[in-house]
Amino acid sequence: MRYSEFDSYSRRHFLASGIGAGSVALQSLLASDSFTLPEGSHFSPSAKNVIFLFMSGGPSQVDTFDPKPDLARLAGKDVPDSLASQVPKIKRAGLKNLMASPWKFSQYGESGIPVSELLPETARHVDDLCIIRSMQHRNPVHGPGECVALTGTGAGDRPSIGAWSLYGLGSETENLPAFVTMNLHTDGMQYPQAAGWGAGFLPPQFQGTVVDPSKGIRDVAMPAGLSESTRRKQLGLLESFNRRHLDSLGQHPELEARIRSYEMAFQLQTAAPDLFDLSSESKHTINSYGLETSPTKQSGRGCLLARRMVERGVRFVQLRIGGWDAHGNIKGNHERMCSITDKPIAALLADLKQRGLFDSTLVVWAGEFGRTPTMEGRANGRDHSPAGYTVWFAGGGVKGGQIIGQTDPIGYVAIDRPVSPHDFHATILHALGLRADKLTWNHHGRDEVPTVFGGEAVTEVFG
Amino acid sequence: MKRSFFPFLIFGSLFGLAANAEQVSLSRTSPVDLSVATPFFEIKGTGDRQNPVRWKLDSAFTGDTLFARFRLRYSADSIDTTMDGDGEFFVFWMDQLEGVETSGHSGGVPNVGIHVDKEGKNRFMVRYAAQGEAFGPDLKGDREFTVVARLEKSVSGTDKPFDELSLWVDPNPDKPADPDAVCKSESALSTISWVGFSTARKTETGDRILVGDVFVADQWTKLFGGDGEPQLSEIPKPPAYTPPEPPSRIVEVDPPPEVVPGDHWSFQPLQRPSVPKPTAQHWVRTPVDAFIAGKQEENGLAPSPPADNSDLTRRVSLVLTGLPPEQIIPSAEVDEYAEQLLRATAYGERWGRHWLDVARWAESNGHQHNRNRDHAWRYRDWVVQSLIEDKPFDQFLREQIAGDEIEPFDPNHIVATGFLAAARYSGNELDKTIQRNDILVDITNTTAKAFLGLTMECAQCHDHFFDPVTQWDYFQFMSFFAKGQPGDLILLESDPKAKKLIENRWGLFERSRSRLTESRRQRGDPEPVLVSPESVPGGMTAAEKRAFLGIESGLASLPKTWGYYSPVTSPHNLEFAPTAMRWPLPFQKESLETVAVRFLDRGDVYSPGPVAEPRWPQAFGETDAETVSEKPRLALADWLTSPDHPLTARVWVNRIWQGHFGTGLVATSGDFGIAGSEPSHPQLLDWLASELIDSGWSTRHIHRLILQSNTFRQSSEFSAENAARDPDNALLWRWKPRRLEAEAIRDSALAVAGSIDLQVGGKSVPTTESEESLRRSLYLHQRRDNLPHQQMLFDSANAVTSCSKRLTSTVGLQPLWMMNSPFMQQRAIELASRIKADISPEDGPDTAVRRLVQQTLLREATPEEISGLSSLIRESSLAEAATVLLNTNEFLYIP
Repeated sequence: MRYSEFDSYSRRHFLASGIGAGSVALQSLLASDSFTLPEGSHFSPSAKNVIFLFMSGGPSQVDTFDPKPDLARLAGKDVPDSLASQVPKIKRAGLKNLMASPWKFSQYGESGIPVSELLPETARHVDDLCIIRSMQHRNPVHGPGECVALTGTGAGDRPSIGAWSLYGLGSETENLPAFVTMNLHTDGMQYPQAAGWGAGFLPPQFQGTVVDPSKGIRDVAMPAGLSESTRRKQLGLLESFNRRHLDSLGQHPELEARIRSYEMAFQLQTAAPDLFDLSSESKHTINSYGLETSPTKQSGRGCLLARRMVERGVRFVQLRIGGWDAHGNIKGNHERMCSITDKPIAALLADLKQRGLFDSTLVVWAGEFGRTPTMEGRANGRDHSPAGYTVWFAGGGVKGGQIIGQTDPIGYVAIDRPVSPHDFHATILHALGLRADKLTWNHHGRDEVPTVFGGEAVTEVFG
Repeated sequence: MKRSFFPFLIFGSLFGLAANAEQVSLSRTSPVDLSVATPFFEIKGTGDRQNPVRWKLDSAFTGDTLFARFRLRYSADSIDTTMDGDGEFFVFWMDQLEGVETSGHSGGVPNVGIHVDKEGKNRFMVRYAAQGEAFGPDLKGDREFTVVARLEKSVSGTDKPFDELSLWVDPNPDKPADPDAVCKSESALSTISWVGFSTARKTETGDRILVGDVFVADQWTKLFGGDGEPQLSEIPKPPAYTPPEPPSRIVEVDPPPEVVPGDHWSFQPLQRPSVPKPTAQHWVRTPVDAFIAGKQEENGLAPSPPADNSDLTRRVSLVLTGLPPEQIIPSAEVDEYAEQLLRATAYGERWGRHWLDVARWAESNGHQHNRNRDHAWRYRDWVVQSLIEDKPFDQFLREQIAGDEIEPFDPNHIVATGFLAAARYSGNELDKTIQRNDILVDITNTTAKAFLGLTMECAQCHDHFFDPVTQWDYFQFMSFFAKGQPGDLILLESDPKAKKLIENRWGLFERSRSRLTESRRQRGDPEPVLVSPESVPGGMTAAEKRAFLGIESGLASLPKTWGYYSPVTSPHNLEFAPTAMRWPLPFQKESLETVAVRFLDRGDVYSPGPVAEPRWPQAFGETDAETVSEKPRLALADWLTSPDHPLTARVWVNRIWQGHFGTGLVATSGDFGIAGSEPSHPQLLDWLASELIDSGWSTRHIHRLILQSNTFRQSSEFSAENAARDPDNALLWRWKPRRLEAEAIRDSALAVAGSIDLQVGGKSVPTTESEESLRRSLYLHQRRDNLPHQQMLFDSANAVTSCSKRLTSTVGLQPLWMMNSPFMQQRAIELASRIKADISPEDGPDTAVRRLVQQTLLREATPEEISGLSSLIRESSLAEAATVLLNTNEFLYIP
């Protein structure tokens, strides 16, 4: 059975989705709605929540998780012809002046996976990471690249992976939006692309709610001076007026849903401040995320909130940390960005584990592309490069301590087990027990799937 | 002596140009060891600008005539034309400056070489700038040519420009004939210190060009009478030759297939149906009712009784203006009331917003940099104004897709092209093919959906799965728009003052920019060197800056609009105002002339097929190729608005119907294709479409037929009997209340609070002031990816793709805004003060509640409301009671 946006609201509204049974009414109120999913789209999931750490700007693979000793030997030389011929013709794919990584790599953990000295904290968790070194697409520009990374195409008109996840799984919280996105360090010219948390052609309730980690959810606070009992009274009156109005109209499920949305909002008013109130966190936790030291302050808060959201049933948390666009000076840029992110991300992994959330939470780390192994012009930076870059998965059924795929000897092009953004999205959905080729939404008469040009889950990620 | 930086490390005194220009004797030059097997050396393309071979003259040449000669052999497999690629570009330049690895030599610099012409042929050419090339014979591959250029000063003098450049290809050394091409430029330079070869984007990686025997002399005779042996000194050999990559070849594509329209209803010719005669003749107020009643009777449904006056007044006012009425209108006067509203600005503002959704209109470029479009508001105002004055829909359409092609010139027509120009535009895209293609795709998809109701976007990558639209149709349709581009247009035609200002402005700007670029290059900035447009004035001298600021303020005072203009197909001379984009599309007419849309395999710009000419989809019959060639978009508009077009009128009346009832007769108002919904009332749809055309495309006429109908005036009363037969109310047996859109919710709250600012049109309220603004939502700045919070929360269009119908979500965040936001709190307080001002201080809460309900819901308060809200007032305040009423479904739904 198939549902499209033109099915009447009433038909789709009351169909039990099989998820969160008993809370059907509830699901319609926050970012989710209850839809009957196409048959065969579900199987047994290994995760029920996702934390997507989106490193906007494009972290350099050869300076983080994909060491290339040959670069030191070839530094200053052009990309050898044998390799250059494999580099896709993409604007900005510079072939001159290879540049060695300024950082050393060491092996960590039992797996012995090498990680750059830039990321000492994350490196401690390397046995939990499944590193994919062979991501690949063709779009070297930030805006469209971000859309590719988060929606599958560059145009920014399709649903985000978060929206698809929510459509597939529905909400499990009564009190908070089910898909939250936090955009940190958005200074500079790489504006967050709204498509990255948009619902595309899916119904708008699947879009992500943008939350400022320092301010919380907008308009949650009641107006100053208003007592809770007055608010209760207002809501009581409103409900009775709305009921009488509805009675005169016979059936109108949307009006029914609106009546309930006020109860929901009231619960949100209580739950949201609690979510953002970190006073219950131990000193140890606060310190481990680096909440009180300057470079990690913002991202530490974002990461800690991500854990608290997952704990409270937020289905999909997207944390966008901008600033990785190291054109002019790879050294300065990546040192800064890693000092901002390494500690909080490691703390998040440890914290999820300690609280028993790690196994049910898929953590994803990815940028919109990687960077060239060559120097950009005569500056000491690297340019954008989508031809071969690294992402990692952890938690949520992921088999850690493994590397999937490989790039050529200089880290330019994925040469083994290339993984497209569509494969990447299918992998996220796979963890959630959703089949990317079966999760459909009828739009313009076509059964749209999350992976528009095909795309298969990289099942090795899960062992 | 300064050495060249050629990577092959060519050293040596290559030119012996004497200081005395009169007596100049040039030594023979040879950059490579001519004793090796090939007398040529090879230049390999890079697919980008490069400046790989450069020599300095021993001293600067300022004489009156300079000759240059070289031999050239272009390998045949390196040559592509615009039929199978983008053509070639290769030049020998003579400049005052050396430039670096990646610089070009243009802007007054004489260039002699190869370029693709407008017909797509690679020919020898001379030029000083991209504009004003003069072409000579065709280039042939694998054949050696001797090229001679003459540079001359028409006025003698060291500081006078080399204003004439002539070209000979394979001339007779003894008896030169007339030149093969000549071009002139007043702004040419007057000194030559450097010469060299350059290629650019059109010359791909792997392209091979062999050149040799480069001579410079002050007399023709010296050119061929070289003094024998070259100076060989320490010139290393060029690097080993590596075989070129095969040039990217054209994708082979089947020619357009035969397409038959098939029997899908919406492709059938429009035929005016006769008005049915239902049994319930008394219920028929306009012919609309006859069609509705007929269907109802067929299906055993009975219409609902008329809505009461309060509901009807609110309905008419909310549907037409998006604002609640101040008072009830007696039923006998509703027709007249509606008539007034149809002429009111508020009507244009609400229905204009409906159209702006379809036009995916916004006031910023979108994409990464998302620069604001400061003049895009004019299109918004044009839409509003067009609706108020009931501009015939065919004209409404024509101005939007061909405003710049219409004669005589009317600035409003240019403003109307804001429809096409509303496409997103990535100003940070270096790849011009992608940049242009993205814009054209956006325009194609939007135009097809807006007017044809076709989801043409599906055919970008493959033939449409359902509709008779092929991939060829897609690119041919796109081709109508190919010769234009969006930008800030100055709304003056052939205005010499504007033209001069812009020329001078770019002149000053470019001068400073190239200085800054050069100094950044010296500093080692990566290529392409980025000098942000904002920083350019900082590099000017004080005098330049003064002049520049003067020009900028002159330009600022000129009226502009964000529009779409083709200097090629428009009969008017308009100017693109300067832009702050980093890498905009080139503005020159010449560059637009050569733009051609190609069939793209899977929609991929890197897999181009043959050129696609402007044609409407084949299923609609043959295109008259001659008509479309001159003013293609006007021809497209004429075709769309021809009275026998099966889609345009149907699609528009359906949109009008949707604006009244919430759902169109065709529920999928943006998809009249096979995958779209079937019309619930096909006869009514066709009758309305015929009425539209016969009334001279009057939108107002269609509104009247609907507004005056009993169908529109039914109550929303529920009937279990009807519901059992038609649960979705598809046959309209009652009025189905629907939620107001984001804008109308906000506007209604402002209106009942009495604080609304009804200022009409003009520049939008800046994003930073949106939250506090009291103006109608239509006027809040529409910045892509950052639309006003409340608008997004209540399901506004996303301003990225055409939105034919808004969806309605119900999420817990909405009540938070409705009850807690400072905006709504403030409205509640204002509403309370308004009520207080209306009643006397002695009046108790009961009176206040009565007044409050009257103001918000336009009816008497019920006893339950009076007792409940009075008690709330006693406990807290009148404002808190107002908050309750502003949150009721009754207030937020069109009754």
